Amino acid sequence: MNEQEARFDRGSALSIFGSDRREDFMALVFALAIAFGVYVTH
Amino acid sequence: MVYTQKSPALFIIGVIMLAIWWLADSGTMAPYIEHLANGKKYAYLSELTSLPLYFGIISVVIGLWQWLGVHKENHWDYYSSSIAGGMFILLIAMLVRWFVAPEVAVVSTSMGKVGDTGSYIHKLLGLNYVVLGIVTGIIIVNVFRVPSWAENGVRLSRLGLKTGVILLGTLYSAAELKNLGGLSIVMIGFFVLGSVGLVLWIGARRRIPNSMGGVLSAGMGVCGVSATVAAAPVVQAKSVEIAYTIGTILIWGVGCMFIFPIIGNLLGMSYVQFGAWAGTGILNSAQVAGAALAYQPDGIETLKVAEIFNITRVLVLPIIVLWLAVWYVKREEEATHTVNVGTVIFEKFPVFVLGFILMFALSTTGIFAPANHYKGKYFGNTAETGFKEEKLLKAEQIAVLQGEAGKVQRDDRKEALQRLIDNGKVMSIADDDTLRGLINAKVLSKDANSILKGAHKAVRHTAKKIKAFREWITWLFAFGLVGLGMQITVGSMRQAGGQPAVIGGIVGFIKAAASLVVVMMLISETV
Repeated sequence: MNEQEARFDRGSALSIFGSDRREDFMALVFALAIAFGVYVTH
Repeated sequence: MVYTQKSPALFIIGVIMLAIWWLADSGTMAPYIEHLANGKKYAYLSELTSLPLYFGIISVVIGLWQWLGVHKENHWDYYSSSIAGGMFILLIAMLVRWFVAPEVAVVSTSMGKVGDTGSYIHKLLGLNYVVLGIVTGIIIVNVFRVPSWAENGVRLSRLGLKTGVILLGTLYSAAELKNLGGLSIVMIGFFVLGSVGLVLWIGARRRIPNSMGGVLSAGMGVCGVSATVAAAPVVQAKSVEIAYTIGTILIWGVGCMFIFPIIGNLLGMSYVQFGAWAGTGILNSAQVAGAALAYQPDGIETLKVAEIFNITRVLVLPIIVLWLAVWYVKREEEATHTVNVGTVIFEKFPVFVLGFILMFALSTTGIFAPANHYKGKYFGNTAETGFKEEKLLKAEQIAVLQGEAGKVQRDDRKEALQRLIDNGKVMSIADDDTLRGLINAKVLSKDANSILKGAHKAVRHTAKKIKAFREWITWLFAFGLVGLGMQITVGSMRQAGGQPAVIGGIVGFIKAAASLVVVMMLISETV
């Protein structure tokens, strides 16, 4: 763990999420929500 | 530990956003917007009069709660602490997109066009809101520093990029593939896969980190900045590695944009040959178009061929991302201990890539845009095609075109223009393409060209859903890239060394030279 990473006790220097997979799922959830919103409203 | 800081920062950001909205919506900002428009239509007015209002209200409400409320340690406290930083990045992205980038364009335009390229310096250097957003982020983190209340928000940038990449899948469809030439698929397939393989091979020989090699290979092989961004999470690239890759691509692309047309003229290449070469050999989309137009400034034929190749290249992106995902997992795991690759891939495979494929699959069903959207919906001359009568050219517009028709020399352009004058609308895809060539040739006056552009827009619409997706993707990338810039410090750039530039230069040169040889040997005038 480098100095920058050590500054954050949750997540990493690059992400607030504990793992890449959790971040991926969140991105997928957001993308599906946006797609649904676009589909319904346009 | 309580993460949410009792700071007025988010509230102040909200007030600034609301002030921007009010100044734009009330017309107080109109003279400044006219200045930024630079004689054209200001492109961001609808954004400027809506987005700051929505996000301003959200920021003010949550900002007041963060500033004056009582906070306890829990999950909500942790995740809500990122909102202030997220809005800070968004505000910077807004300012850069709406004000800084247009101002740079105004200054650049006032300096005049650069030599024989026919382009202004901001176009040549790609000084758009994306590049300027990254630069702004870098300046903030290096000259000032990211405020403590914004630190958690800066770590949301990769989430924004991943969401944007997943949504990119909506912009492709099987209908688009039908329009692509077989030769472009073969050539691009060969050169993209070859470049990626070459970068990975040289990278391993020169002992650069796998993450650096992976992200550089995607950038050098596929389509520049977008591919770099898409591949970065797969190979767990660091911000500094992404920055190095983007820097290498942009510097190489700008060089190619000047050198390619000179070589093309020396070799007497046809429009088709040059378009194929530029679309294969130049790394970034903006610079492909720049080189094609520099080679043939009075027509669109070269640009059309170059864009066919460029689009084919972008379509290879999912394959490259999959390849890099497998390659990275194998190299990283095998370096330490023997593992079941299948299990590791299952455990570590980036789910957002599946999201991209899911969106692509949804798009091919026509759920977001009907198939005929891609071939133009309103060319028929009947009401059943959906063309609205009020979009027909007015009598005075037709008079302008009739008055200037004598300036047109080429027969195909004369005929297409005559059909437009006779019918008041563009009658076919072929006519639309020909008339766009006439616009690009700048034979007619500005007024006449503006009428032609209006006639084009009347028949070729972008589906509303696709337009909405493009806007979402634009903002997600803008958000992600400004945040990315804030993670790039001078100290970390120094640590990375100059290997990416060396490898990028070698592979870029080989790709450009080899594609030139193949183009000259295999491609005749017609594809």
